[in-house]
Amino acid sequence: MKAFISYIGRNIYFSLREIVRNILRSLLSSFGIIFLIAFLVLYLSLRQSIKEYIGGTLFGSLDINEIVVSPPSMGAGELISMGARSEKIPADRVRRIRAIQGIGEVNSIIRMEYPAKVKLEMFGRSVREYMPVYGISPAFLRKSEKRWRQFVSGTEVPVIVPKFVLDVFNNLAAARGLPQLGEKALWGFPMELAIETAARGAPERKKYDQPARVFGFSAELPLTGLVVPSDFITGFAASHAGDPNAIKPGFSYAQLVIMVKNTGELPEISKKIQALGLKVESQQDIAAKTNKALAVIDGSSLVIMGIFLFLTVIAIFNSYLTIVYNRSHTFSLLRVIGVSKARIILTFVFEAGVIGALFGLVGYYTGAMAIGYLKHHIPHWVPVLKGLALGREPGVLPMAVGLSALLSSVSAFIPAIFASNMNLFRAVQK
Amino acid sequence: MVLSGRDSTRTEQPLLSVEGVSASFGKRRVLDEVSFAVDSSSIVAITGRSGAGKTTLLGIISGLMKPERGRIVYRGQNILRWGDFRRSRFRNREIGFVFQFFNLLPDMTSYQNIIYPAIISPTSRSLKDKVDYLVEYLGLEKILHQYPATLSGGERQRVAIARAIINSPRIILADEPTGNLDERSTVDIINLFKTLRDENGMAIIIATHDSRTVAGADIHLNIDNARLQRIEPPERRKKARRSR
Repeated sequence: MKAFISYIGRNIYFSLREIVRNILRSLLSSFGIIFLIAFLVLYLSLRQSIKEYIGGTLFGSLDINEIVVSPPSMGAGELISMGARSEKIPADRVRRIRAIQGIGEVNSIIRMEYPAKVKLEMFGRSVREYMPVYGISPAFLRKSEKRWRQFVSGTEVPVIVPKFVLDVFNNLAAARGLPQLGEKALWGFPMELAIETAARGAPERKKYDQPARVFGFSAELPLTGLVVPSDFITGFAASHAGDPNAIKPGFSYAQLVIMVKNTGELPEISKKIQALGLKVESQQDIAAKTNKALAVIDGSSLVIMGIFLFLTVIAIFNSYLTIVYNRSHTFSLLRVIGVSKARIILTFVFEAGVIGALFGLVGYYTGAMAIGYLKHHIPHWVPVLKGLALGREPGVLPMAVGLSALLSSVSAFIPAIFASNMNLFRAVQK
Repeated sequence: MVLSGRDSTRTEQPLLSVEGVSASFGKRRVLDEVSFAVDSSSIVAITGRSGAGKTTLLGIISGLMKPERGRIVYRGQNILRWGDFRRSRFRNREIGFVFQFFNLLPDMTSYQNIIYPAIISPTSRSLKDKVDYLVEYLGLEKILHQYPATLSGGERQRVAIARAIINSPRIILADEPTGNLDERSTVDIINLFKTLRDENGMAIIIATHDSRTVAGADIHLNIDNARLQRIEPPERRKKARRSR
């Protein structure tokens, strides 16, 4: 037993010794793995964050029995903006949709048609900007907002600021030399909505200053303006319909989220709504779109990784082949003193695996550093992607180390066979 | 005996026999129907011109090279029929190699070189006892922790012999073991082989050009034109003439 333990100890000692002796050469040979693993780590993080980003929007979190109805020229996942006046669902169509049998709850995103300015006092300076105003019912928020029942109009109108709008606002503030503000700073921030009931070019216009306060922020709402409770907009429109030159009816439907009572009826109901000349998208459609987008990301990433993989394998293979010839004397001697071919192959492959694992570790942390860098710089480069939450994915570290070790071992396999098959007796003669 | 601990009594069957071995390099035949037998406790010297096939023959005996034809029978079994694993084990346990240029690993101390074959299979005896014995036996005390580059030729060869016999083999294959040594070291190594033969019952097969090594051998074989001839020592030839 003592002799066996001593034998195991000797083997470990000599194996480690070989690894340490050849580590520099082996490390250089496996350098490409760093880039491969770093890219893999980055890709996985990017993929996951994009998935979460899409999943985190209103359209990604649709239930199986929900459908989104949009104007025909617009897709469900697109930002709703004031830009195109045609992007609305006529009121009579909304009434007809509500009348379809099998439809349960209908939540709408409405758009205030009155021009509205946001007035803010910041750092002793006043900011006034025209901004679109949208209305949603509190029920719309029940999946994401714990305080959704409090999203109702009182003396102050609660305002939800979509993330996109906050980014635009901060860009605007930066352009005016004002500091950029985060969500924490703006939470509960007081403001005024200056609403004009007539069109901006109308000769006579009435203005109303409505006190408002920031209620919260949302990454889910695909809107380019502020969001208030829809009953505020409908109530305001009803009470000011008689104003001179007032825009009628004062609001329009931008999008509807419909809950179907029986999921089995969803295709039939979708057809009926489509027959009204509207666009319908369900969870399945959006999932298909998401998958399509991810497939593009996956495809391009796989091509890049494939190239890295190919170059890495070739580089490792070539380097290990050189190492085999450099160490041919040692391998020959090992054969002479009775080391079997299988053991030479295993030892060499194990050595390559250890080096690969070390490089996998380095590659992982290089990828993590790249993630850290991009996390801070992506919002500056592409403000729309501010919501993209890049981060290290759990389980990637062991996968990166394992994959790297495997790759290195596989690349070293053929050189290992060469090592075990050299004309050993002749090599030792020299 | 501390080194072998094996039964080295002679039997009718030779320890090793080479039977009808032929080998070529390309079109050049280097061994042609070579046959001979080796018993325990014997020294066999193989001579021949450079390139005559001496080293090839040692390579074939050890199972590292395969002949075109023939058998290498060790204790009744043809080793050429064994798989690589068994042949490797055979080399590790039953054969010790000694080379002209020593083939010590330069980045290992003498001690590490000596125990290197013991990394392959666990030894039945304590390795420390064996190394202690060999160090004393071969006079390696002062050079045990030195690197080969700092040793003389004779010292290197003694370390190489210690490595060759660490696993108590029955056969030592020596390829020009004195070819790179001065006269005194040559005599020392020849005497050491004789001691291993006499005290440990080892069979020693030496490929050599050196006449002193040949003189110390029990059997002298010469390879000429790929053929093996047995050459009787001069004393025996004289005795044979006188008896006629």
